[in-house]
Amino acid sequence: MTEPEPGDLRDEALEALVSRSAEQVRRLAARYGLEDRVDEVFQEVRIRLWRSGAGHGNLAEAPASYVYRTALSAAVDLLRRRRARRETPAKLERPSGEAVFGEAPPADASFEDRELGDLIEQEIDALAPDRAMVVRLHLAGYSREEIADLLSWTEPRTRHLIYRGLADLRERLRARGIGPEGPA
Amino acid sequence: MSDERLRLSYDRLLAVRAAMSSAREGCPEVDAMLEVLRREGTEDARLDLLDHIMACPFCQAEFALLKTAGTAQPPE
Repeated sequence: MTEPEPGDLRDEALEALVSRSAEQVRRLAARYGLEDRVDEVFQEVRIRLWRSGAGHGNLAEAPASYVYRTALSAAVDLLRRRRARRETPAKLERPSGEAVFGEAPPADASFEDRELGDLIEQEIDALAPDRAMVVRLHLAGYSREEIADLLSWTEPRTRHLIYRGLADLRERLRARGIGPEGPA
Repeated sequence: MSDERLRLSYDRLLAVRAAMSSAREGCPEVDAMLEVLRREGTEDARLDLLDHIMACPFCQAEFALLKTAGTAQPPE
C-alpha cells in the first residue's frame, strides 16, 4: 500500500470518528501534561486507520473497538518515545486540581501540609498490602467499580477493603495526633 | 479526617515528590502497565506494580492515559 498523502487523511468520516473517540483522551492528556504530544498520537491513529482501509470508503465497516485499540497502541508508542527521550511533563496537574507540579506551590501548601502528606504515606505503607493498594487507588480518584475491575475483585470485597483500609488509616493517623480536621 | 482532605494531602505529597525528582529508574515498563490493564499476570504481581504506579506521580499519569485511551467511548 502506498503512503497516504496529507490530503488523504482529511477524510471527513475518518476525522469525525477519530475526533469523537479522542475527546476524552485529549482532556485527560491536558490534565496530565501530555497535551504537547497528543496531536502526534491522533495523527498516528489517522495514519493507522487509513492504512487499515478505513480511509478508502470502508470506514463504516471498521468496528469501534478497532479505533480504541489503535488509540491505545498509539498512546503506548507515545509513552515509549517520551521515556526514551527522558522527557517529563512540564506541568503535571494532580487529580484534585489544587496540587500542580511545574507551577509555584499554592500559598497554603505549608510545611505542615507536606509533613501531613509524609505521615499519610507512612501510615498507608504500614497497612496490610491489599488495604494499602485500594486506599492508594481510592485517593488517586479511582471509583470502587474501577478498582474492582482493575484487580478482578468482587464489588463486596472491594467495598470492604476500601472501608477497612480507610478506617485503619484514620485510626493510625489519630494515634499520631491527627484528628478529623487535620493536625492538632 | 475526610476523604477530601486525605486526597488533597496525598495529591500534594505526590506533587512535591514530582518536583523533587524526575528520575524513573524504579518505574515499570509501559508494557508492564498494559499487562495490569489487561489483568495479565498473577494478582500479587499486579498488586506490586499498582502499588508503585499509584505512589509515583509520573507512572500514575501514564497509567491514567493508557486506561482512558483504551476505554474512551465516543458519544452515541
